Order: sequence, then C-alpha cells, then structure tokens
Amino acid sequence: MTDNMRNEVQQSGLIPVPRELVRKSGLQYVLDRLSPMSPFGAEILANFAIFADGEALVRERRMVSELAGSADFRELRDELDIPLMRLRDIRGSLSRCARGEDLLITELFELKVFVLLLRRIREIRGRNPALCRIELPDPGQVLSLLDPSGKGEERYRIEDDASPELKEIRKEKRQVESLIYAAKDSAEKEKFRAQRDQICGAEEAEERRLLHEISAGLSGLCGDLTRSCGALGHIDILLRKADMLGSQETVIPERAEEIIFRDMINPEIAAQVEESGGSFVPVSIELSRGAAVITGANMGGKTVSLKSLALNTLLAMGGYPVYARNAALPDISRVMLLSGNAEDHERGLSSFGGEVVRIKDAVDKAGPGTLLLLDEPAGGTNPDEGAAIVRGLVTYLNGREAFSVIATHYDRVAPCAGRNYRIKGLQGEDPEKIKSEIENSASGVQVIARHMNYGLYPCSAEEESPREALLICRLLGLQGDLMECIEQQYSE
Amino acid sequence: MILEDTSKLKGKVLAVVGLCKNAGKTTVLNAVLDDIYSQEALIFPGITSIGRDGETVDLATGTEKPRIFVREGSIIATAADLLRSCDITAEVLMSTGFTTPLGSVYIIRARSGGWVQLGGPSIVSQMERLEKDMLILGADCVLVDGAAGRRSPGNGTSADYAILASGASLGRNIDEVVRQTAFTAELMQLPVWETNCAESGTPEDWESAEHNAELMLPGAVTDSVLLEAAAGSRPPSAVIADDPSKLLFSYTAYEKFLRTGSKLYVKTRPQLLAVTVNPVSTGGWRFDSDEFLEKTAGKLSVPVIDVVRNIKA
Repeated sequence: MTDNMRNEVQQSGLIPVPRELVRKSGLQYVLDRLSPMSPFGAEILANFAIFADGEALVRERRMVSELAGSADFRELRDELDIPLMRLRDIRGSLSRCARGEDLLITELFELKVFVLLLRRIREIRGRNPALCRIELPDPGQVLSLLDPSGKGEERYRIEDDASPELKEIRKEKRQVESLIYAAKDSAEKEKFRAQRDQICGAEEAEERRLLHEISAGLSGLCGDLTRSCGALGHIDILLRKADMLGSQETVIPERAEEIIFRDMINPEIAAQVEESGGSFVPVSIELSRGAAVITGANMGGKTVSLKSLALNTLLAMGGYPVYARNAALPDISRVMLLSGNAEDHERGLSSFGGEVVRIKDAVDKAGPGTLLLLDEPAGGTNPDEGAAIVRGLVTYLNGREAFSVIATHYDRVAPCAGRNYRIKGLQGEDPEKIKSEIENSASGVQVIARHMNYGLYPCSAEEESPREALLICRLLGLQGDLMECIEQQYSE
Repeated sequence: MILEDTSKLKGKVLAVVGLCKNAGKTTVLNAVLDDIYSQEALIFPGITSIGRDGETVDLATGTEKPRIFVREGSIIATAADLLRSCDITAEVLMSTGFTTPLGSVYIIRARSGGWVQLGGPSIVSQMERLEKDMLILGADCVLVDGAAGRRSPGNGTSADYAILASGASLGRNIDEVVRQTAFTAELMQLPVWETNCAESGTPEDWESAEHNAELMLPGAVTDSVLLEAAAGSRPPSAVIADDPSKLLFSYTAYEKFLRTGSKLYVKTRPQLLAVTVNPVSTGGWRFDSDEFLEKTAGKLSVPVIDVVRNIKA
C-alpha cells in the first residue's frame, strides 16, 4: 500500500479494490445491475471499496437489514429515488467557491436546486430510523442565502431587494425600457438606448458585487455541502443494498472466525450457464485459517467456486448482501484471485515465470485478513514438478494465518491441506445413460457439461480422486484400440 | 411586419431557416418578435437558436449583424457562457443538462427587456425536448433561430411553422439566387404523405415489387438516392422522404425525377409562412431591391418580404 493509499484509507475507512478483481470475480456484473440514481451513488459503485473498519461494517450491515425490513421500504425507496435521480454533481462549483472564487448565477441556480433536493431527501429520510443514522447536515444556512424569500421555488435570480442600489437601478432600467418602446423616432430611441446601456453597466457591477457577497457567504458552507454529496451517495447505495436483500436471494452475512458460505452463487456465471440451457449448482464451502484444496473434474467447476468466493467475500466486506442461503466470515481486508493460466505479457516473462512473480507477491501480502485464491497454480509446467510445487505451496500456506484456497488437478495435494473439497463432477451419474444421450446428440461435450455437477463436497485427504478423465475419454467415444492403450497405462 | 396574425403561433414552434450565411435570419427573428410584442395574442415568446447566434459580429464572416432584443417576460434558452453577454435581468428557470462548447444550456426568463445572445443545442432530439420544456415553463410559443444553410441536419425538423430567409450572399447571379430560393421553398412545401400503407425499403427492393407502389426513403435523399428511386420501367407513384431537411439533391436531379412521373412527398414538415430576401451580400455586391423582391415573389405562392426595407412584395 502506498502512503497515498494509506492516507485515503485512514480518511474514508475504505480500502479500494483493484478494477481487475472487480471484473474477474463477476462483481462488475452485479454492480452494473444495481442502477444507482445519483451521480454520487454511481461514483461509489465505480470506485468499489471494502470497509477497513469492522465496526463501520457492522453498522452498515445493520442499516441495510433494518432498511430492507422497514414496512414501508418500497414506498420510501420510490419516494427517495425521485429527488436522488435529479441531483447534479455540483462539487466543481463548491470547490471553486471554497477557493474564494465567485459563482455564476447559473451555478447558484444549480446549487439552489441541489439544496432544495437535499432538504427534500432529509425530510423523507427523517421517517426512517436506519437512514437517520447517516449524517446529513441541515442546509438551512445555504438556503437562506440562495432563497432569502423562503419560497422554495426551483428558479434563481438576484432579487430586486437584494440591495437598495440594485432596486433603484432596476427601477431605472424598467423606466428607460418603456421610454424606448414609446420613442417617437429612431434618434430618440437611440438616446434612450444609450441611457439604458449605462444603467445595464451599473446593474452588472452591482450584481457582480452581490454575487461576490453571496459566494463569500457560501464559501464557509461548502465543506458541509461536499460532505452531503458523499452522504447522499451513501443513502443511494443503501437503498440499492436493501433492494438486493429484498428482491434477490441474498443474505446479510454474520461475523465469525471462519468463512462459511452455504449455497452460494455467482450471478454472472449463473446467467451464462442458464443461457446455454444448464442450471447453476450452488457452492457450499467452509474455510478455516490455512489452506484448503479443491480438486476434481477437468471440465471447469473449480474456477466457478473460486470466483463465487471472491465475489461474495467482496460483497460481504463492502457491506452488501451476499448471494448465498447463509454466510458468515471474519473481517477480510484483502482478496486476491490468481489464475495460473494468465500470461504475464507485460513483463515479457514466460507464463510460468510470470506466475511465480505473482505468487511471490501474493505470499508477501497475505496476512490474517487475507483471502488468497489460487486457480490451478503451476498448471502449465511439467506435471511432476508442478505437483511438487503445489504440494509445497499448500503445505506452506496451511501454516499461515491467511485463508487460502488452491484449486488444482494435481494428485496427492490433499494431505498437505487443512481442508479438502472435491467437485462432484460425474459422480452418481449413470455412464450408460449419458452414453446413450451422447449417441442421440450433436455435441457430446454439451451432454457431459449438462450432467457435470459443479457443486463441492468435503472429502477426506485419503479419498482417491475419481478417474473422471478416463470416463470422459470413453464417453466421447475414443477409438476402442486407443482406449485399450490408455487403460493399460492407467493400470501400470 | 412579417406575421399579420401571430395568434396561430400559440403553443407552436416557428423556425427561421437561412438559405445561406447573412440571409438576414436575425433581422427576421427581431421582426417576428416585434410582430408578437405589438399584438395582443401572445405576450411571452420563447426564443432559442440551433447552435450559436445573436452576436454583434458574425463569427463566420466577420460582418456586422443585428442583435436580438427581447422584452420583459420572454423566455430564452442559451448556453451559460453566452448568458454573461446578455443584458437582461435574468432569472434561471431550468438547467436542461444539454452541453455545448459554450457551457450547459439554461432556460432563462427575462425579468427586464434586453439584448440576448442565443446558443442552444444542435442535436435534433435535444432541440425538440427544449422546445417542449420552454412551452411547459410558460412560453406562449417558441421561435428557433435555425442554422444557416437549409441542409444543416435537422434544421427546423420539429417546428410547426417555418420562415425561409434568402439573400444575395447565395450568389452573384440574381436569377440563379431566385431559382435556388424558389426550389428550396418548393421542397419546403411538398405534399405531406398521410396514409401509412407504404412499405419501407431500398430501390433494389422495390424493383422486385410487382405493383406501382409507394417507396419510403428514410434518411438523407441525395441525387443518386432520388434518381435510383425513380429508375426502372415502372417508377413508384410516390416517393416519401422523412422531412425537408433530408432533401439534399440538386435542382437538376429533381427535374429528372419529375419527368419519370413520380411524385415526391414528405412525412412531416413545418408550414412555410413566408420567404424573406436580403439584397445585400457579405461579398460586397448587392441586388436591386425591387427586382430581387419582384422576381422572387413571381415564383412563389407564399408572401415574400424584403427584410432590409421591411416591405412586402
């Protein structure tokens, strides 16, 4: 963490999450579907961050639960959405004003509309105890500067009686205007027009003086307004979080010593699976500190588990509901998801070299608050060495405080880990039935994919891995004599 | 006087469309405003412009040009940077959220009379939205200072009425200018296609059709599009374009098209109220005012007005 970032964390109590991880874990997919109403809410989603402070996280979760549980939540949300949607980002004007610059009349208009909307949101928020916990300063002082008559209309002008001078000038302006309209000839008209030009000059100067006065009065209030922008974004996002809880199959996670997710899903992957006619099998997993290993079938599944874990842990730590039947976890301040297959083009190293560099970096960073997810590490190197490296890595990580999950297809890794999970794969399926289905189908691979169960089950370290690769070769109809040769190798 | 009766503008949009730079669009706009202010039918017009207008000096040609004067109560829509050069007492009514190179466009009520500089959006959909918003905010009608050059995209598309401004700046030959003006006025008065029975398609699609059908031409209609539409042994009885701003073909192509026996329609168009002429050009030459006015009026069925002398043919 750079000093700059650390400062940011201290100020906001939030830790930014790398964009790459947001995208890769399927979090972007979830965020894209939340539709915040205000520019400030959109900004919070665009800079997704997790809570650094456990107490703040607990408060956030409580607010989401209470809000979603309010009897009138839907009405409240619909009512708040209208002013939230109309908010404009006025922070550019606020920072100019705070620096002592004078605002334009159009900027004061935007500010006035903003403050009127803010006041409306404060009123509605007042009905809900959960939302009342968000600090939203009363903009009364700002309004008294921008709406001295207190009419609350969404329009702005410098009132005639803003100063006695202005009142006099505008009276003159009106008088000379009627003289222009009533002028007998163009010479007379020109004479009055010249008079008018002078009056307009005086009006402009007086308006400028008043704009300066109003801007100076506002400059001390800009800090509160800028903070209100953040608070309005927070209210916006709380409504989206409560929406998730009410309308999707999600729960607010509890705090625990271990990481527990039951029937967890990843909506992005679920959508892809459903599009191709399948259905997503929810993933259940329990992790203690140290290393857990996921082994199993060749055709995917392991990556799905890791991505679901990354997504839901990030959501949990961002104070969002998670996609699971129930969930509990300790405070996690860092999630890392490393895919062994990703080539490190940038540094010009080979695939394996790049991976070693990333693993070194991850091991360096992994502390008690880390969830480290490794997808097929050393998958691209030769199987004997790869298996040895992974066994070493798992043994090492199992002795550390971080939560690590290693997905691998290498044999004999399980005994090195604290916990073992296996992809159900084709276990329990009737090979004969699959075979006959393949015979009547254009794509055998699709038939197998449909029967493949990507769910996890805990297994003992001694349990032999199922020979699923061999089964797949057979199902997909490798030539009989070729199968014989392969089977002979297995028995040797 | 350009409009003898302004009451028909109530709740409607009038666009002033220029055939060239310095056709006198702004003078026309001021004259229409005078017509409105001097009659009792409407009191508070709304005024805006496609892109920028209302400067003392024409930014494109450097020539002196008249400014726009509005009376108290009028509503204008202009960009934030231009508002600073207006000398009305301004009341900001609405932020449109539309941005231009000169800042966001705001709808302003003039709390005093004054000179204004107009710069509205140049995107058709935004202009349509803006026209509606000005009416909602209390404008009795909306005047749009259209872009110079009839062929600017979307010029006056959404308006109910139009005034076409032409002038000597269009060319040195008076007969050529008159012919161009008459041609444009003709295209702005094409019959409106009322039934919905026509099929959309390309000329190629049509060739395979058996009957002498109507043909829809969505989008720009250039010389080649127009001539292909009427090609073949059985040209369509009706060729239907979107609106006059999409008609980009030349006079010669149009003459050829007419000889095939086909007829051209548009789906929508503003009603052309008048054509104005400005005998003074930016290039230094000027036409004889009477000759220009008479020749133009001789070719047109709508009123023709000399904007400099403010006389009607």
